[in-house]
Amino acid sequence: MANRTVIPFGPQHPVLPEPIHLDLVIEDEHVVEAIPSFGFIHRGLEKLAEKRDFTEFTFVAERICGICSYIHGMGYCQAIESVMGLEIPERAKWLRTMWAELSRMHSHMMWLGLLGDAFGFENLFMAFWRVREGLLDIIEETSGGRVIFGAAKVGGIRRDVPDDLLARIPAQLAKIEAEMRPITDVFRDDFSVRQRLCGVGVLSQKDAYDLGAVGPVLRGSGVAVDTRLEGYAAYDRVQVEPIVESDGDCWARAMVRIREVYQSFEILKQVLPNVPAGPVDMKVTGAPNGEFFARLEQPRGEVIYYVKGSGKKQLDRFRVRTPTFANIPPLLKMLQGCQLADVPVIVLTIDPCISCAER
Amino acid sequence: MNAPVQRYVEVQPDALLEAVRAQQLTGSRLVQICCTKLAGFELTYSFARAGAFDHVRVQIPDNTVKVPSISPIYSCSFAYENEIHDLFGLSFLGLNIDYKGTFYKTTIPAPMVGTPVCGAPAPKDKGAHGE
Amino acid sequence: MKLFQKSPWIIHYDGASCNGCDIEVLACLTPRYDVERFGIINTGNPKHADILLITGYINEQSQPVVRTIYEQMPEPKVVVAIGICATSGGIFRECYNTKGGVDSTIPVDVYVPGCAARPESIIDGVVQALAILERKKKEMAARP
Repeated sequence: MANRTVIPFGPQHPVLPEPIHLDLVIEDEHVVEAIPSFGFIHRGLEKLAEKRDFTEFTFVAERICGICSYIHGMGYCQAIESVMGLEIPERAKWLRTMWAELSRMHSHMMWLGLLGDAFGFENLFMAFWRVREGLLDIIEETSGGRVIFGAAKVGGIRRDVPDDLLARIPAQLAKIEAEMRPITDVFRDDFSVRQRLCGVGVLSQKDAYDLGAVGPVLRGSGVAVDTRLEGYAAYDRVQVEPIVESDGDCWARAMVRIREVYQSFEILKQVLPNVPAGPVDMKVTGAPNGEFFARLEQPRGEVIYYVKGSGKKQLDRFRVRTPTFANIPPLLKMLQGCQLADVPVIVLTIDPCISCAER
Repeated sequence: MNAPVQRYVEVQPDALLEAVRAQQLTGSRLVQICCTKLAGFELTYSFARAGAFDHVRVQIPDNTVKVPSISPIYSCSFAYENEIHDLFGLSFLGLNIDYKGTFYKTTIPAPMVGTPVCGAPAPKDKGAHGE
Repeated sequence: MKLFQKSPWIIHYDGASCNGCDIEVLACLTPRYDVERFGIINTGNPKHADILLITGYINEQSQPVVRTIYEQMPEPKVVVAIGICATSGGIFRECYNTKGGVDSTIPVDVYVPGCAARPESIIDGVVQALAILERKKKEMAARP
C-alpha cells in the first residue's frame, strides 16, 4: 500500500497565474483526488445589484472579470433588454458582435501564451502576447479601453465607431493573422509541445457532458455545443460552426482554442463589411419588471445571466454563472490519476478565471 | 434568434428529485442552480439540451427546511449547492461533497440574505476639491 | 542608470481583483513593454522578491495570504498597489466581503491609479518603487 500524502497547492504558487487552492491527495506521484477551496477573490458583487441603479450596474458587470469583461457587460445588458422587451438598433447589434469576437480572440491568445509558459516554453508565451498587443490596439482604437472596454450599455453601446476606422480594421487583422500562423504551427507540430499535452488530463465525452463542462472543455471532448448558435446579437446572420476535437486531452482543448481564434477572424470578415448605418443606442425608460435567463458564449464557455426586477430601479436579484465555475467539477475529474507534475498544465487547460468563478 | 423558449416548471420540494430525474432522462445537462431570496427562498434549477432550456423551480419557505440535494443525480451540483449554503444559509440533504460552510469564507454569515450591507465604510466626502 | 543596477525582482499577487490589472501586469513583461530590459524579473517566490505588486482589494480569505507573502519578503521591500481596487476598494468597496484597499492589511508605498491600470502607469509605479527601494536600502545601511 502506497503512502498517501496531501499536498496543498496554491493560492500563491510560482506556476499559478491565479489564486486557486487545491488540496491534492497524492499516492506516490499520482493524484488520487483533488479538493478545491474557493473564496480568495469572492467579492459578493451579486449583492451590489440591490444597491445600484440597473443601468449603472453595467459597470459592475463589466468588472466581474477583466479578461472577458466585454461579454459580461453585453450579457447583462442583453438580459435586461429581454426583460424590458427592448429591440436594440441593428448597428449596435453588429458592433457588439465585433467586440465579442475581438475579446474572444484576445482571451484565447492570452491563454495560449500562458499555457506555453505553464509547460516551460517561455518563448511561446512572449510570442503570443506580442501578437495579442495588435488586437488590443484595435480594441483600444474602437472602444477606448484595453482590457475593460466600457462599451456596453443597456439599450445599445456607449460609443459609436467611425466608419473609416471600421474600414481600416480588416487590414490590421490580416497582419495579425499572418503573424499568428507560425506560432500556432508550433502548437500543432512541435514534438515537445505534444509531449506535454497529448494524452494528459483526458476527459471522456460522457464525463464532459454529465459533469456540466462548457466551452472549449466540452468541445475538446467531442460535444458540439456552442451558445453562439442561438443567434443573439448579430450571430444569427453570420456563419458559426462549433469547433470540436475528439481526444479530450490538454492538446485537444488547446487546438479548439487555436481554431476558434481563426474562426473569429472569419466571423469578423463577415461582420465588418456588414455593419449597417444608423443609431447605436435607444432611450431606455422605466425599470425592469420580470425575470430572464440570458445565455451567451464566452471565450471560456457558456455563461448565464439571471436578472429579476420588480419595477424598481434596483434589481431584486442578479446572478451570473460563469464558465469557470461550471468547469470545476470536470477539472477534478481530469486531475484524478494524473501525475503531480502535470497538475499546473491541466488546471490551466480549463482556462481558469477565478475572479469570474467567485465573483 | 434561434434561442429555445424557456419553460418554467414549478414543483413542491418533495417532488424535486423526481422532476430533476425526468430532466436527466431527456439527456439534459445541469446548467446552473440559482437561489433568490424573496419572502422565502426560490431555487431555480436550469437544464439544457439541444433546442430546450428548462427551469425547475421550487419554493422553500425558510432556512429551517432542508432541501434534498440533487447530487445523486447530477454529481456536479455540489459546487452550486455548497455555494448556496454559504451565501444563503440553506442546508442540503445528501450532498456528495459537503464543505460544511467552508466553500466561501465570508466576513458575515449568509451575506446574500437581508438588507444590503456594506464592507469597507464609504470614504468621507471631502468636497469637490479634496482636502 | 544607477537606479536599475540592482535588478529588482518582483512578485505579483492577485488580492481579489477582476483580473483586468493582472493581465496588464503580465503585459508589462511581454515584448511591447518589456520591463525585463531593466533587469526586472517576475518571480513566484516571495523570498526572492524586492517589490510586491498587488492587484485588487483585500477580503477575509486573502488577508492572511497577503500578510504572509509580505512577511516572507526580505528587507528592504516595497509594496505597489495596482489599480483603483487595490487603492481603496474601488467599485467593489461597498460589497459585503471587502475589507478595503491593500493598505488595510500591509503598508503601501506606491499607488497606481486606473481601472484597469495601463501598462505605462504600472511601469511608472514600479520605477517610483525603485527609487523608494534605493532609499530604504540606504536607510538600512545607516542603521546601527
